[in-house]
Amino acid sequence: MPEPESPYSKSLGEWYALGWFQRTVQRWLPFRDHYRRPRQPRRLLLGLCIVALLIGAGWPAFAYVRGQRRVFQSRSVSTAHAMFNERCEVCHTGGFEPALRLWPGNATLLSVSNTACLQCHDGPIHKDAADLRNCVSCHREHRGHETLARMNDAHCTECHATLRKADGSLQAVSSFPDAHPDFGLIRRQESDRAAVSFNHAVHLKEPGVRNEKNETEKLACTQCHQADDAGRYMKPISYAENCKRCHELSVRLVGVFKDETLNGAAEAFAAMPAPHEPPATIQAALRERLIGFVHEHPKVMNAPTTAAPPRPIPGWQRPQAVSEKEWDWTTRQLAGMERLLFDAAGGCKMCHSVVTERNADQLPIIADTNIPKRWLKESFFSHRRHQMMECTACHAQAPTSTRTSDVLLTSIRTCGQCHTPSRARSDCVECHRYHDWSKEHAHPKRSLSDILGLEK
Amino acid sequence: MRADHDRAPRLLIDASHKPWIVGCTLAAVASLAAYVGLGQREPDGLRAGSTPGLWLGVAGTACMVFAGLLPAIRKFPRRRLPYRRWWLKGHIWLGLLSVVLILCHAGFRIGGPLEQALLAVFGVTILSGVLGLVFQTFLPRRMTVQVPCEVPFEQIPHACRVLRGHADDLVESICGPYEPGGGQSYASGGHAKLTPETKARFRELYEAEVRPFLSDRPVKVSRLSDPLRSEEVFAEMNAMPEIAAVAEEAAKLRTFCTERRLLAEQERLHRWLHGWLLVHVPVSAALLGLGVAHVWTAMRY
Repeated sequence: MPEPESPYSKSLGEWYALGWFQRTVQRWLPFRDHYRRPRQPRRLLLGLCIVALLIGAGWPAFAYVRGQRRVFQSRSVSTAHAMFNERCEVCHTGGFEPALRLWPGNATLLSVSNTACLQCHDGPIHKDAADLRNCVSCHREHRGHETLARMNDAHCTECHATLRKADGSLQAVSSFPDAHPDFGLIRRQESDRAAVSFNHAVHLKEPGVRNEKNETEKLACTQCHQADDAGRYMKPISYAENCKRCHELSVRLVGVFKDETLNGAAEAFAAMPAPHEPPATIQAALRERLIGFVHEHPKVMNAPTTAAPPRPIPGWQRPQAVSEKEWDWTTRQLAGMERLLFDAAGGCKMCHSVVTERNADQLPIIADTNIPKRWLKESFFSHRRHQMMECTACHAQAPTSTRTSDVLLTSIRTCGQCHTPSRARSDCVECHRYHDWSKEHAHPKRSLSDILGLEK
Repeated sequence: MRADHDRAPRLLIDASHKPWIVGCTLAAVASLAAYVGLGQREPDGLRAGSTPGLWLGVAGTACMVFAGLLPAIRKFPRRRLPYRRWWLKGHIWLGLLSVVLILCHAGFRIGGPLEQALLAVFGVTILSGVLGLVFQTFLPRRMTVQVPCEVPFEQIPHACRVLRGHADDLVESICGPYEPGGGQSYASGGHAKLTPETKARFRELYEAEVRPFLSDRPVKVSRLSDPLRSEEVFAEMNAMPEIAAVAEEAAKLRTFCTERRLLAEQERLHRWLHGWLLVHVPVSAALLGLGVAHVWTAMRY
């Protein structure tokens, strides 16, 4: 029966002429007549579905059975935990916590408990915090080979954005460099309290300073300031390493030595400087050297001297081996040297502060130098990583500083020139640590097989 | 006009989808707002393993399960589940909503190998579904316009055989009965006004070009499959001597060829209309397998 609107002669009369049985009931019969063919390739579709389902479910199942846990990880664990990459149970000590977290009241349930972390690590508390936070709230695993300590600033600013102390020792920080206070000692305009006198300007002046060979030498910062083995901080300045070459504690015998041998011995004595030790040690060392000298060169006692009369040290017993004449000579020479070292402006006082001046009863008391070994103890810094920069880029005041009290540290704004989000790293953990490692507890050591899970 | 309006093919996406579109759009906006809002409260942003992230995953999975139940729902008799059309709408819109939910759940990250495979399969499922939706929306209308002699797809081979039977009868009335083996004599049978030579040429043209084209599996390289080139065949036919005597029969033969060409076009459109299911359904099955594995590991660890 043709469609009325169709301009074409319909050829389906036989199909339309089919009875009710063929058009309805026969559709559900297992066999098909020659009028029917499947609307869709159902067998192909069913086959594809079965194959796809087997692949979809079979691949993860196969990986699980084979112990290939990395298939299921969003990203691999950090490098430090790489040995546990295929052993989920080391950290995930519980089971189905994520599912339980969906239950009301269980929102704080953790997939990895602190206990699992503390098997291997200690996590000292942070400053004045009462207890340890959840490790995994900051240390996010499965982020690839990132360092676990490298975390988002938001973990810190969560508290520190509003945390401040009334005395100004702690100020709010929300970002770096824009919303970070300057270094505390710059903010408070603190001074260097070291009890030594040092003039950077004199040492760094043009064209240079006189060295031990009496030549002009241009000093560089790195001749005195050397980084430690880790390249982080500068080693403490020491007299022997940094000062002695030019500032020897020279002492010489007082007298006129016409004898050539004696004159040579006196010159040799003068060529050996006094040790850079406490006054009592210097005194003892010089006395020993003088006694040795007079034993070796008895003629020195006959040499005319302009030295002051001897003044015996009260309560001090002379060694028996020294004659009175030798002792007198030694004491006279020593007195001259002590005046030179302890009283003259070019002696100890040139650099050190004297607590108590030398008098008839005692040697001078030299103040502890109190040179800070490290500034900015709340953060850390690596000089090695900044070695491409000239020193004055950060310590700009050094060439003109004339006083020890000058703090030759730059403002944090200098750091902010490079350490911005678009340049060098500027996150909190770049300079700060959360855990107070001074409070770290000794951790029981584990065997290798225990760590690798070989022991049952 | 009324009759024309009633006959106009109905689009798959019509005004009845409006509540679904509005509801799913609102849900998508809400989930994105939750993702952004809750993510700002978390130092590392919203993660899939966090409680809100898990809930987004649960919601996305629920949408996918709902969409995946469509074939099962279709198995039920219509009178038991009168809301099959409602479920089809849900299949479309909740399936699309699941994309937003799953992306928010994943934090717009691709994850590890399992998650990457899952997202790839999910993407193919959604894309093939959207493609299918486009096909299902536009191709039926196009088929109605382009194929006025549309027949049930299952009957196309049979219709072709019937067409060819009619054509055979027609040619037999013109050229006389067909003798297989080439021993046919055109002198006696067939139309009386045609010369034996014309009958022979007519038969030859029919056997070489028209009859193979009218079969239920037509030759692909045929001049008759192209409307313009088919005119060459019929021009050749009309150039035969005394063919005017059988002009009506020749015109019928041309109509049979046109109808066969339209049936071929219907078959082509029908394959596009349903062929996307060969991708959509198997990848949905793969998605089911991978999804189960993902849910198990996510809940376990």
